[in-house]
Amino acid sequence: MKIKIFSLLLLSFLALTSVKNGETAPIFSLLNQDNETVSLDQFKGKKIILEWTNHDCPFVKRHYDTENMQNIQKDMTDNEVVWLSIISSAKGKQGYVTKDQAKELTTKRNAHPTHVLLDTKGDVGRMFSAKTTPHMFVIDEIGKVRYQGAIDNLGNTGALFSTDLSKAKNYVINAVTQLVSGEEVKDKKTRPYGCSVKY
Amino acid sequence: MRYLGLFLIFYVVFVEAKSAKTDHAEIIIIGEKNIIDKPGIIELGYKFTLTPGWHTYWINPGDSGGPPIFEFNSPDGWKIKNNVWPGPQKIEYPPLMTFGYVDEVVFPFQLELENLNDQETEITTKFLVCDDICVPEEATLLLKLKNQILNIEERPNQLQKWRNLVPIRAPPETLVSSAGTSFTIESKSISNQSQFFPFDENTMDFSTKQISKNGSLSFEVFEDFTGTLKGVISTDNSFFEIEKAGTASVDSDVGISLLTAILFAFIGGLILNLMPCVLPVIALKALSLVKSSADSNSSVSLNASAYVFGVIATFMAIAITLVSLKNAGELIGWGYQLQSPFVVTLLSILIFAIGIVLVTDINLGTGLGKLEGYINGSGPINSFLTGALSVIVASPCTAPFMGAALGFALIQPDLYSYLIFLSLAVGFALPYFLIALFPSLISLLPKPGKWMETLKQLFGFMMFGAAIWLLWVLANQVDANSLLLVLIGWFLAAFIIWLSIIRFKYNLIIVLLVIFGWSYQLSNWEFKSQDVAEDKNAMTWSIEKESELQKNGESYFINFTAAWCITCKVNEGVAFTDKVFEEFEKNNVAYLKADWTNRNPQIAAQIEKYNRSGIPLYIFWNERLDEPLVLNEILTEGYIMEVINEN
Repeated sequence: MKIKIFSLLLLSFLALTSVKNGETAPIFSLLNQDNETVSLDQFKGKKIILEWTNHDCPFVKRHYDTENMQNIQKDMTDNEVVWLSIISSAKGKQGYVTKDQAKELTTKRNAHPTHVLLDTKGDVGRMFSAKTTPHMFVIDEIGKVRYQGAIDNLGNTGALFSTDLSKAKNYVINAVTQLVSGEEVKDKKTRPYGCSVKY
Repeated sequence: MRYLGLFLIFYVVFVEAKSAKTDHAEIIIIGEKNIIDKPGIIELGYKFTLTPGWHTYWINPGDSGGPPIFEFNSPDGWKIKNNVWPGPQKIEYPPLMTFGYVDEVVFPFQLELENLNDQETEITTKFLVCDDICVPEEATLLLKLKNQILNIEERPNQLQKWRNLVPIRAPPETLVSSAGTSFTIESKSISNQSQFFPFDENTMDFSTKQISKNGSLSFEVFEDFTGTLKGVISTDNSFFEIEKAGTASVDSDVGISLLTAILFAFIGGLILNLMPCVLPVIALKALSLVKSSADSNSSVSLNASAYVFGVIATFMAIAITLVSLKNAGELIGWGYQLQSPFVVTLLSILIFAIGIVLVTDINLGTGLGKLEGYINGSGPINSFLTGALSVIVASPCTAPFMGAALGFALIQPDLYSYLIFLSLAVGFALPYFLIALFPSLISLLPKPGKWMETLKQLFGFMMFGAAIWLLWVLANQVDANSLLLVLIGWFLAAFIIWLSIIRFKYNLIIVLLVIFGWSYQLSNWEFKSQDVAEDKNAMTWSIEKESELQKNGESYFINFTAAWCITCKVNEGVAFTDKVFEEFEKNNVAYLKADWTNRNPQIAAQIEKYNRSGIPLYIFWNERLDEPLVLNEILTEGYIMEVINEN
């Protein structure tokens, strides 16, 4: 019984650590592909998109192979939105990369992130309760979380085999568009789909 | 090059075979036997054998992954049905939780053959197979019928094993309750290993702690969870499905709803005393008590107690019968007894005979004629039998008025059912219970006199009314010849009573002969079900019809009704006006009628799906609704219009 109560307490504590929409995103600093420290608060005044990624995950692969992810990245960064790709794979697990490999991947895939951040210990991933790759977060100019969840509504197996990913309802694009036009974000939270983050 | 050619031939043969191999899986179609000797439904299954330790996913994969997809076209003469999903297991990757199958799985599906002509088709499956990492794979299988041989692997046991893991309907005693964000599911089949697997991704945190002990399982859902709790629950060796609408605000504590049910049953029982088929019988009992009040108070008390005991014993006997039928898997609802033409026939004759006895005001002293003796007599045994008789006579009246409440009783755990029935019985017997406790109350009733005879005769006519109503119920169940047999039964009953009045010498022999002869006819004469009276506005409901409408996105309104359901008939008279039918037409709402006058397992199963066990039940659906809407039991014209226009 004591163990039960303890584990319930622990679980509720863990649940509290996840980020909530409308609340300020936890501030973190990580090293990027060029070994520079990047901190979330240096982007105050800009919208930020966090993308949890793992280049070997079939769901992520699908989004990059079809150029869907790169197109969105380009579209966003061209419009002054900061795009942070975060890799939380532990050393030796799928998706783990060194900073050089990260750079190489960006070039090879013609990706357009503002920074690729290496979270090998998984601290930042756990801070945000990142569950899957891809798992997306949209943060506004004053650092408040506005969207968290899946990249689009294809969900589960659909994303793997669907032929045209760009036709899906993209929650991230919608959230940013709605923020720009001053509207309320319609879909604030969705269940992310994809591979598990390899902590 | 030659070798390559040879290889290609082999390769083609390989593809033509029933199995396909990918990097991490081998897929074959399995079945019971591959010789197909008649058209119809063939049970098959897609069997996945995965690299040891690897897994694939359930329809809701949990935090990551995705379920397999099967793509096919049904060729001429074939109908390939969608696969079903055996219950999954938890596959944990803390902090993530996924639901799927490790090492192997069989997804059962059906193939419906219209004929045995040679035919074939390709089925493509796309799936994810995962260990720590995931690999998407794709395979194409050929399903082929040639010379009545289907190219499947014969693995009847394996198929059966996985078919047994496909979730079944929740056992009838299952109870789902919620308070705030926590849900509790109670069922005898829940063990301390049981787990709930939600269908919908927005239900709960999949890794949330589930507390299971024998008989109950509880867990928390999301704070903003609304809608229907849908999912499957694992038991020791199978799975069952639950679907429970509502949030905390709809369902409160189980204990309270049970108390409410008991209270309503009690009040219902009390009101039952005033029903036209019951009032005469019990009023006569009261009158006989008045008569015997000349005797000592203790005799009144004894008689009243015997009566109370008779009522409760009979009600409990009925409850035990119903509960054991339910536990034996019979689909029953209250009103069930009136679905048997035999029961209705016997009841109608009994009530008719009581009517005659009352109107003619005879005192049947000999032979069969103990009937009135039982009612008017004053011994405790007579009182006990009167109690039993009044419950039996009351049963056609309970059906229409108490249907909903008793229906609720029957879907509760056994103990609750008994408590509700007991409360009904106590309510029904309450007046006599009070008399038994305070025999002096009897002096409050008017003094015996001529008025008693007049009242008795009036009650006789009420009995005729009840008998006519039962005859009308019967007219909806049987054909004209069988109805004639029932009327002959009435005639014979009247004749026998007359024989008793004239004190005919061989009365007893004739009675026995008549009963024997008539019962013989009854057993020979078939109670043919006649087609339910045509309703020009309605189509006959069937599950196929309903799903066809739903598939085509066409709106529909279903009326679950029966001739013996008075509430249904009142609704039909009051609410289903021409204006409503015009509105149906204007909005393209198909009006379906499911007539439950006779037993119909399909209808019973459908009613149970809405957590009901009785009628009336009204269902409305259109494209904009995720789930069919269950309407109130009492309808008005305005309410139906509102429902159609606002959804």
